[in-house]
Amino acid sequence: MSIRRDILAKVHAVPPLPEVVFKLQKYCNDPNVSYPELAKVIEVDPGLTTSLLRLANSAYFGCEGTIGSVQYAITRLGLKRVYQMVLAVCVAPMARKPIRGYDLTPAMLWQHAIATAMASEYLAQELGQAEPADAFTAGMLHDMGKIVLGNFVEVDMGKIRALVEQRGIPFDEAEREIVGTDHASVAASLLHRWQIPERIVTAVRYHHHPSGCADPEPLLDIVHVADVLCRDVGWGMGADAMLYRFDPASAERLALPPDIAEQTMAEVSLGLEEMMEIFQTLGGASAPPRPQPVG
Amino acid sequence: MSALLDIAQAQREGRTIVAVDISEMRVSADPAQVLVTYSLGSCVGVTVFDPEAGVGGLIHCMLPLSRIDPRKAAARPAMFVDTGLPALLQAVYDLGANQRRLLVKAAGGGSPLGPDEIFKIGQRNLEVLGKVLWKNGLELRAQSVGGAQARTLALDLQTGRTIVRTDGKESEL
Repeated sequence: MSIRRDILAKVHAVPPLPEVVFKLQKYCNDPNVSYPELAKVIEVDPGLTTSLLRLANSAYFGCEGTIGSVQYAITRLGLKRVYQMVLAVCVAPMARKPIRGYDLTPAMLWQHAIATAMASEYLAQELGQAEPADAFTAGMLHDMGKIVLGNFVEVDMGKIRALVEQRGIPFDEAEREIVGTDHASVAASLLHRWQIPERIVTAVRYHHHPSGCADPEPLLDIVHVADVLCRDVGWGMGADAMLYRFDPASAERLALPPDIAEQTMAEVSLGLEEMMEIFQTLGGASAPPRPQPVG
Repeated sequence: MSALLDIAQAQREGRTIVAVDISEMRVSADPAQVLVTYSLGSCVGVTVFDPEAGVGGLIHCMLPLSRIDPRKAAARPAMFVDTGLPALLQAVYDLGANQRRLLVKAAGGGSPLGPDEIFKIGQRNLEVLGKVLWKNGLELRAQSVGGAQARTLALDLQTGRTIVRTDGKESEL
């Protein structure tokens, strides 16, 4: 079996998402959905309900301390937001673990995920070229392939890192050369398995090189720029650090205004602390938020 | 040289590791302390130390200029080089450091691979750092800047040594 096929097989070793995520997603596309019925889908799980209400009452989501029930959360914040939050609560326990191959100590992958989610959402809002909720979700999920490559496959990261150093090539290119695929493609496979909507899977698949997509939607460019900015700042940076190339066509397609990069970084940095604190106290949390030095 | 950033070892030796987050600064005159900041990408980390007074400080600035958001700069001066660095200098002077003896070192200011990234945050952080130092009659004694690697920067208050770690390897600045 080739390494690539072996890796795709390992995608199936990652736990599936809880049923509630799929149910909610189905309801998101149903214009006749009843909110009380939908609330019940979430409320059968008390842990999820508590976590959802903590997030819904955060300053970031804009309803500080005013939301007392799931149904009210759906009414106030909208179904897409609630889906986004439930997805975050369900993915967090997997993403808050240390990711061995990438030297990501506990909670660092998650910190990068949430930072990129917030940056993507901010860019989508400011630029008005993509749905902010989609941008948040795609940003949050873009690096989940690292869970598979770093923890479920015994990929020899030493070889990948040596190749990056010797030839000065980007990390994803070295991944493709050594294992036949990269963490973006693996993430796309995993998200397919999790039945995440296709437009989000596409943004994740091309997050290091949106121009590789024949007809890139703004969502792809937004997630790419957000990822680059969050790496620049160092949120959840592992062994791959900033060892990627920027796709300049992305910036052209988005017609980025001056200062948008700095505005995004400043905006995310304030909200990120609150979000990381919330996730640290939610169910399944076990790791310290602060990156610790390795070796 | 012992591995200063090995937390277990530092603790065995009775040292206190003080972590400095993004957009934060710390100053100290306690020789037991080691100030450390992690994950410097395009951000710039600056250490200052007066060997005679035994006073030092470390700052981790994210962005070059506060004009993009004066409100955030008022709340978190260390977020920006142009507001953070003067605040750091004032704080070590308040603890008894002297400008003429102050040793200033910097790390970070990196960027992604290749010439195409348009934001140039790292490069601009370093430019503003140079300007603020010049205005304050100071210059960099040593630096580890640029490139696509992440850096960890530490200041040992006991010895005044400034240590940079890149890719698992420590070196003295």
